[in-house]
Amino acid sequence: MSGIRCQGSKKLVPWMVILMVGGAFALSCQIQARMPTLYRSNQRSAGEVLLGESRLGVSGYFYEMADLYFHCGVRHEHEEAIHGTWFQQRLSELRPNVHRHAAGKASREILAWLRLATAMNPHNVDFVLVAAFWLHHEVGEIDIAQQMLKDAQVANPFQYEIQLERARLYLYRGRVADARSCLDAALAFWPSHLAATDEDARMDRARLLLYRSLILEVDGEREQAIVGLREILRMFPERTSLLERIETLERGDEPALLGAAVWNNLLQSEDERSMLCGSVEADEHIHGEHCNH
Amino acid sequence: MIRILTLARVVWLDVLRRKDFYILLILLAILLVALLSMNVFGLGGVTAYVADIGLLLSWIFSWVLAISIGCRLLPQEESRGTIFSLLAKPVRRSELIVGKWLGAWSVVSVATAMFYVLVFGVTMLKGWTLPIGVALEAIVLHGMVIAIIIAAALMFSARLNSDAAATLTGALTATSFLLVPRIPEFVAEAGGVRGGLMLFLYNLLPHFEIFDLRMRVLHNYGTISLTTFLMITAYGLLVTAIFLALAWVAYRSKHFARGSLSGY
Repeated sequence: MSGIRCQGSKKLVPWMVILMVGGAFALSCQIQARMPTLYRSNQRSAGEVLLGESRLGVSGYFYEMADLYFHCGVRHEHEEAIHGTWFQQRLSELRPNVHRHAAGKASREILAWLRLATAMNPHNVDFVLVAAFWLHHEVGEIDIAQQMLKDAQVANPFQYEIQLERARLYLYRGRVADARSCLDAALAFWPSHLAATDEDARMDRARLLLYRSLILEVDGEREQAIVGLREILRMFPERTSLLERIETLERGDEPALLGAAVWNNLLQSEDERSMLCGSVEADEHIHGEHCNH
Repeated sequence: MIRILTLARVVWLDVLRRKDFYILLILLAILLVALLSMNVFGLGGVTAYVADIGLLLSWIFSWVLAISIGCRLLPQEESRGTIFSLLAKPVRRSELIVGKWLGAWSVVSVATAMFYVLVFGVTMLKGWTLPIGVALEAIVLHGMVIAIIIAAALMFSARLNSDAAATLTGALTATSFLLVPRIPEFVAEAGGVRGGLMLFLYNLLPHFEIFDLRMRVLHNYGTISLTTFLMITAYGLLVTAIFLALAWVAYRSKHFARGSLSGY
């Protein structure tokens, strides 16, 4: 008799499990439907849910892949203690080691890696800035770059670097008023996560002030432009060429239109510097770890 | 030879019954579709990243498959007790080892080739151009790595249970994949006794990096020279033979007793 009762209860177990799973599913649906929108909008990205904090490492990997694709699959050379082993000889035959950069369609492939890197870690501003640079210079999509920077600003609300890059993109487009408001925002956010004494932060502040002074000059606000230039001089007294500029502005000799020409030259020279290979060799050389791109 | 082929066929049937491969293939397909659906700033024709991640996943999945299949072949026979009926037949232990290896290697290689076909097929549909010659070389050399991994798995599982063998094979092959290629770099920083130990490992452990042609395929660098290809293939065969010989040495004098095999 007890055996029959035991068999009967065993038959009930799967039904009870199904009932409980079904009930839990229905309950979770109910809870989700009743959740206020405020909480739902604060959802984490798929990458965050799947990978947790390891997504930061994955993001770094994707960024390295972007660099690898920029160099057409050529890895950075590292200092090695042993040379010419059988395995190293085979590797040198297998792996390409002539330094060259991706161009044309191949350069668009870099953006996929940068997109993945920024998706995995939207808080790394450097990844965002590099992606914006590539979108602008290699693909010619300033609007997409601008939109990406806006999204990045939402993820990193008080990072001045994003506003600086947005201002530069607006200047490329000739939208001076928008550039000016971005530069004002960037100066308000400065130095963000960096210390005010940090060398990079100081250099960036000088850039911000210079761009803003040029815009102010064009807008006819000469006094304010001079204030900005004087602040750069206080930060970097060795930039004596600014003294000349200040004197010219004070005399009122400089035509206002020249400001636009100066910032165009400035934008181009900055971007050319970003694209330059740090080493001085000719087009083809073994890519080393000191090759500072 | 017939006995070896029969043993290999049994391995095929067992693997197909277990469906590990189908799961990995479906998983790969899902991941590729997820990658393809990613919006790369609205730009079209960007596919190399899908091929790259797809090939990386093919390497990882084939590694998982090779270890999981290779490590269970011998312990499974022992835990089921079928080893007694197998050894009662006119099958030498060396034939058992080689038959199991052949079966596992061929099934994992075919599975890997199907991973490649899936990756290349999906990316070609999106406009990627496949360099066929170097892609074939890449598949063959990947097959050599699988041969080494399965031989190592058999070597460890000849004396250990499947879990321990899988752990050791995983550690050995992961070291060969990740650490060994960077040893010359580490030696420069280490020096002294540590450097000497690293050099010893550099010469002792198998080198998988010379079998990896992914960058050549993805960046279309063309085929490697026949001499290099043959040298690398010969190296792969040599390492496989060494592991299989060690497996045979470990297995030939192994004593089986009923009742003592339940732990497998």
